[in-house]
This record gives sequence, structure tokens and C-alpha cells, in this order.
Amino acid sequence: MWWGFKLELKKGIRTKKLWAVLLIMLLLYIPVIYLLKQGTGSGGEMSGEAAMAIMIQFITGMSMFFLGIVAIVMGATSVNKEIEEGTIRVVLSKKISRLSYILGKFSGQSVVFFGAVLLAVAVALAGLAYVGVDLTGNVVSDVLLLNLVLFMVMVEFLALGYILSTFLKSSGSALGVALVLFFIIYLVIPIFVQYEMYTHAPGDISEGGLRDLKADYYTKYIFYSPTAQVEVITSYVSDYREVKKTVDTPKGKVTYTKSIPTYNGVGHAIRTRWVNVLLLFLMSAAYLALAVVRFVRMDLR
Amino acid sequence: MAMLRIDSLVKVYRDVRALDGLSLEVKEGQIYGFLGPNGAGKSTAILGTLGLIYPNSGRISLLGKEVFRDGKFSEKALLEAKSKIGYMPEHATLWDFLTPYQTLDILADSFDIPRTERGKRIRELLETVNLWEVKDKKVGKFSKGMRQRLLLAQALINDPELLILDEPMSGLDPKGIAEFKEVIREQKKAGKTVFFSSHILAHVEEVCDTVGVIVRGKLRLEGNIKQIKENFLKKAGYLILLETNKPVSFEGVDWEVERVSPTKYKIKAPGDIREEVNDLVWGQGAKILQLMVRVPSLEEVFLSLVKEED
Ligand SMILES: Nc1ncnc2c1ncn2[C@@H]1O[C@H](COP(=O)(O)OP(=O)(O)OP(=O)(O)O)[C@@H](O)[C@H]1O
Ligand SMILES: [Mg+2]
Repeated sequence: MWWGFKLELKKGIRTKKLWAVLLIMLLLYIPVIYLLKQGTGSGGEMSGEAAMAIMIQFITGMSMFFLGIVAIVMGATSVNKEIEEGTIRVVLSKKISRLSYILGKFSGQSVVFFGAVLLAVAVALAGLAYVGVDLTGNVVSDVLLLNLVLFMVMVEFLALGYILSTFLKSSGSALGVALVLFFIIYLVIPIFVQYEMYTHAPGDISEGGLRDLKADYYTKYIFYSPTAQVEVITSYVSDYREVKKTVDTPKGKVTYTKSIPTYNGVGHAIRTRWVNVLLLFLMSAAYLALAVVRFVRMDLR
Repeated sequence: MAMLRIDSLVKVYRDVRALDGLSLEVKEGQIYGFLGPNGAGKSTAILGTLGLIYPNSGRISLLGKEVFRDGKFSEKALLEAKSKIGYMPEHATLWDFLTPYQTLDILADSFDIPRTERGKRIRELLETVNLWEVKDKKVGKFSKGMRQRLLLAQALINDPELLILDEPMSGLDPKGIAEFKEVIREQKKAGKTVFFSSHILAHVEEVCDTVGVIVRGKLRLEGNIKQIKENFLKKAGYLILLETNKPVSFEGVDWEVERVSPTKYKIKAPGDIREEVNDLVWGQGAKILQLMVRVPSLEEVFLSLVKEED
């Protein structure tokens, strides 16, 4: 396994893929940090928790989109491209088995992503410090955990890409299919599932109740989509407290309930939604297994 | 010992029967030329022996051990065999972002070649293929011929017992070809076995001691070059150019006769029929002005084998 792994690391560093991934992540942080700075600058004080909540909101949505595309495209062109170029025939004529090669390759690419994610964590923390957030243990662990979840999104998309890469001979068409597939599972299916959810939701549902309902639907119907799972997980970083409020109106007192979010952290979200974290693991493994089974039996020409 | 042995190998790609019961054997120390026209199945056979594609049926042994049987490769036997095999693929690129030195270094990594020995070996190889001066240049900037030479070098990295080369001379200039042939001769001297494919006879004729001709997925001829030529003469026959002083009749003979002019003929016959022609001409009271026999070249052998199929 070592061999494919080492080659991928070399590739990752030498071919600037790592740097491309990193650049995307950093570009995403800039507007967020800018916004945070605006928030703190105008006299308003920003607590570490509020800043975290904002970062999570912005960063998960945007970076899942870009990193997901990067990962699925990388995966979708990994094996077929090597067949087209012929490098795989050179490699596998050496004392390297197919199984160890593909597993090594996959781990190598994952580690490259991981390196990028760690660097992104460092930058995020620096950015938070810059806007004046105290880097407490909680903040650090939240940023780290959030990025680990993002890393898992990348790994799952990478594995999904591997399936395309082993079933579609042409890397060009695999790339096209990967993009279409990405949009379908990132955008199209969630829209249908949400539509379905709203038509079944009771009319007087609270904000917290709606979140729980969405989590149920996403877990049940989009279990194969890493972005949907992460959306569920991150929606639990804050919990809702229902507060009854009474106001005086000319017609008398009116009471209504208000949902007030309280930030509980990424760790809390992961603990609450462990099912979705598990799904990230399981589906990555399932995708990879399918790709591997196909790879060890396929013609490499 | 048979270094490579293929038994009734069949490979079907969707609708193409690329290998149709191919059998051949390469013995230790042989330089075996694997000849065939484009699309004959040479690359398919080579990829199959290395486990890079899955044949449908048949058997393959490498270095005396069976690696493929009943549609399955034995992973263990194949890995073991691969450690003693060098392979040069047909049109492949290596990593553009690596230098030739790094390329050989990383490939050497898969065999347990000790570090100390490795540097020496890489240098030797790069010198052999004339790439030592550009050892630190990125492969991405290489010409086709330079890439081809690097491909040859990587095939030799583990000092293989069996060298399998797919169209190794394509893309090489005459100097490159001469150098390549030198490498092959060196291998032979060192007692190694070489199996290489080509569709150009001239490339094979000089360096190979044994030749196999594959057409449409089957081995049609095998033997040393001389044997093949003789064999072939029997098959393809002689071509006789005859000129007489007056027209003669060829009624009653079963040769193929073409009248070029009233007194000039082209005769095709299955064997040496000079005697018979002589008798026939004299028997009709005519005189032979000219009688020429054209022995077909291997190229023609080849073409006739291909044509035979159509
Ligand atoms: N991936 C593939 N799918 C379908 N048919 C294929 C595939 N690869 C090769 N073939 C067919 O298999 C036959 C044998 O091809 P192969 O490449 O083995 O021939 P070859 O003797 O190496 O030819 P060349 O001298 O051109 O390299 C050809 O008819 C070719 O069209
Ligand atoms: Mg070929």
C-alpha cells in the first residue's frame, strides 16, 4: 500500500493540487473574516460563540460546494486518466498489486486533503484571533472538528468519484458526469426532499421542530449525500430554546413562543447527530468498496 | 525452462475477438520477436501476460509458474513473477512532473533495491539510454524519443530475467534504434530473455533468434527466421519471371500464369518448378531467353498471411 500512497503524496505536493484546494479554502475565509471584522469594528462586541456560529454558517455551505467539486472531479479522473496516459500499466507491471495500489492511492489523496484541511484550520484560527476572538479550547476544537467533518465530505466525494473513474473509460466524460452528479445530489435532490418535507410538516411547527424534521428527512432519503449529512450535523451546533412571550396590544395580551438559538458547539452537534457522522463513514466505505471491487477486475487499457 | 508460456489464450473485447486461442512459448535466453500487423492482438497478449487485462480463458505461465488459469490470476504468483520481469508498454507517458532520475527512483521503490545500489543502477541505466545529461530535467519537457528511452530504462530497473517490450522501437530515430538493439544484445549476453513485439520485420530480423507471427489473435508461424522463410516459401510459393523466344502454352499445368506480353510470363507455383518450366518450354520447341526466380521477402510472407485471412 505504501507505494501508491507515496506516489500520491509526491503528486499532491508537486502538482499543486494541494495548493489549489488550500487556496479555495482560504479564499472562502477572507469574506467571512472580513464580515466578522465589520461586526466587531462597529462598536458591537462579538463573542467567540457568535463568531463561530457565523463561520460555520458561511464556511460549511460554501466550502462544501467547492471542496466537494474538487474531490469528486479528482476522484472521477483518477483511474481512467492513468489508464489513458499509461502510467498505471508501468506501475502495475512492477511488484505492486492492484488492491494495494488503489488503496494506497486513495489514502494518499485523502492525506493530501487532510493536509489542506489542517492548514485551513490554522488559517481560520489566525483569522479568528485577528478579529479579536479569544482562542479558547472550545473555539480551537470547534474549528478543528468542523474541518474534520469537511474533510470527510471530501473523502466521500472522492470515493464516489472513484466509482465513476472505474466505470467510465474516458476521463473527459467521467468529469462531465461527476459535475452533473454533484449538482444533482448537492442541489436537486435536497430541493425535492425539502418540498416533500414541507408538504408533510404540521402548520404550527416550531423552528426547532422543523430542524428535527429536516434532519429526519435528510437522514432517511439523502443518506448517500455527504453534503446533506453535514448540513444536518451543522444545523445542530445551536439548539433552540422555546420562550413564551407576552406582549400588550390594544386588544389585550397576546402570547407567542419564540425560538432562541443557543450555541452549543460542533462537538455537541456531532454527538447529537452521530448517525449522520456514521453515514459519512459508511457511505465512503461503501463507495470505495464498489470502486475497488471494480478496479481489481478491470482491463487497464 | 519456459520463461513465458501462453496456452490457448482467448480475449474478447465486447465484440472483438482480439485473442483467439493464442499459444506460444519463450524459452530461457531467447530473443523472441513477436510479429504481427496492426490490430493482430500483440498488445492484448502482452497486457494479458502481465495481468493488466483479464483474458477470458486459457493459461499463462511466467518463469515456470502458472499465473493465470480458469479466468483467474493468482495474485501471489503474479507478484512474484513481476519482481523478475521488466515491461515497456506501447505508447505510455510517465509523470511529467518528475525528472528521469526521480521516475526511476520511485519505480525502484517497489522492488526492494537497497538505497546504496539504487543510485548506481539508475545512473547506469540513464547512461545506457543516453538520458544522463538530462537527468534533472522534467519529463514533461521531453521529446517522444526521449520518453521512449526512459520507458526502456524503467523496464530494466529491477535487472529483470524476462524483458517484455511492446513496440519498443516506435518513435526512435535510426541512432535510437541502433542503441536499442545494442541493449537487446547486452541482455542476451547476460543470459536474459527478451520478448518484444513489432509490426516491422526489419526491426526483428536482426536481433531476434526466434520469431512468432500473430495474425487475428492466433499464432500463424513460429521458428527462427530462416525456418520461417523456408516454411513460407512452401506456402507462398515461388514467383518466376519467364521470357521465351516465342509464345508457349501452359495448358494442363496447375500453376498460376499471368501473360505479361506475348512472350513474357509471371508464374506462381507452390515450390521450386524451374525444372518443370524448362521441360515445358523446350518441349514446345521454344527457347528460354530469361528465367528469374524471386524469393519473397519476409515482408511478403507477412502480407500473404494477412491476406490469407481475408
Ligand atoms: N479496449 C478495447 N476495446 C475494444 N476493442 C479493443 C480494445 N483494445 C483493443 N481492441 C481490439 O483488439 C484487437 C487487438 O488489438 P491490439 O492492440 O492487441 O493489437 P496490436 O497487435 O497490438 O496492434 P498494434 O500493432 O496496432 O499495436 C484490435 O482489433 C483492436 O481494435
Ligand atoms: Mg499494440
